[in-house]
Amino acid sequence: MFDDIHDLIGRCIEREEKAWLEFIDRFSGLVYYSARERLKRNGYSFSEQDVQDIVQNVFMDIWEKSMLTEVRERHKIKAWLSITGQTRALNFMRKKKERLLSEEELFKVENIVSDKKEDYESELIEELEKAVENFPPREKIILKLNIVHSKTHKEIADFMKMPINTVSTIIARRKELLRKILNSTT
Amino acid sequence: MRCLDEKTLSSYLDERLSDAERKGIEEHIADCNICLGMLSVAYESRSRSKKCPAILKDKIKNKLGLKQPKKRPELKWLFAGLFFFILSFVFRHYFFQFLAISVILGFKWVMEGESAKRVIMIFKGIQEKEKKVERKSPPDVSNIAGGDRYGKPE
Repeated sequence: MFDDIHDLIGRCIEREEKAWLEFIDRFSGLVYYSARERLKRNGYSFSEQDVQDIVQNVFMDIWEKSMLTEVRERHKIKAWLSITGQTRALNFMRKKKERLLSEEELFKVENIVSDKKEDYESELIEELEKAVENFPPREKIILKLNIVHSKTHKEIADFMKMPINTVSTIIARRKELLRKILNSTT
Repeated sequence: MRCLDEKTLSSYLDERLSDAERKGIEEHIADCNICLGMLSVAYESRSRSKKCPAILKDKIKNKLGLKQPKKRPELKWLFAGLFFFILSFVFRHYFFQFLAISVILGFKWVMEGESAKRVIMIFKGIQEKEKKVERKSPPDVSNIAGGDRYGKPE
């Protein structure tokens, strides 16, 4: 119905009912995916109800606090919505943990954070962190995206607005160096 | 290290930033794994197809007090079922065949209704919860002499 996102957001700011219905239909999936992925990647054990509560709260806040007025580039709202969904997901789990701690249900708190995957990832990040300590910021980001976040060269180039050849060269050169560093430490 | 706010962080992916602004954000995300992780998921979320449960969408709309246009109930299955039911009496020779088809279509109509979907979701939710409780319940050690269920001495 609203082809232009800029127009859709404008009408949402004016609290037009049809626009809000479309806004929810169009973007609730994105917020749902982002919140869920964030909880999964942080190693939280969560229920479907937790994710649904988070997504509901995000849209409630956007509505009640008129957060859409703060968006600078309206036609590029997806990244902002995704990051908002993720930060709310982290806050939600933090609060849940605090609540359970205050209720002294410690065994439940232990169950919120699982499991081996997180241990493995944090170990990997720690090792990588040490090895790339002295690399320039851009190269650190490229390596982390490639090794920790499993992004392809093309995706990294798009993410960082860089030519793909430069990304590939940096990854090849730095991985070689990393191999040497890690071999010398083991 | 203090994380970047949502607006600044998202601007890295979506806006045309000046070199200085871009560099500033990169210097932060190079050392902040939380912010880099958020950007990584935000980047993925733009391209991967995402579905939000219809019930959740309805809940959000209700909470915001939005009036949804009334959905027309899916009547095509009902009419098709009725049609075959009538045919079963017209062509008596194939009575049971037509009757079976009309029963299948009637079942389809019932299962596609909103209330049936809700019942299925509730049932799935209960099943999931039961599975979780089974997985997570601590072992029963109450029989062990001298300890409560967490193994603490009484």
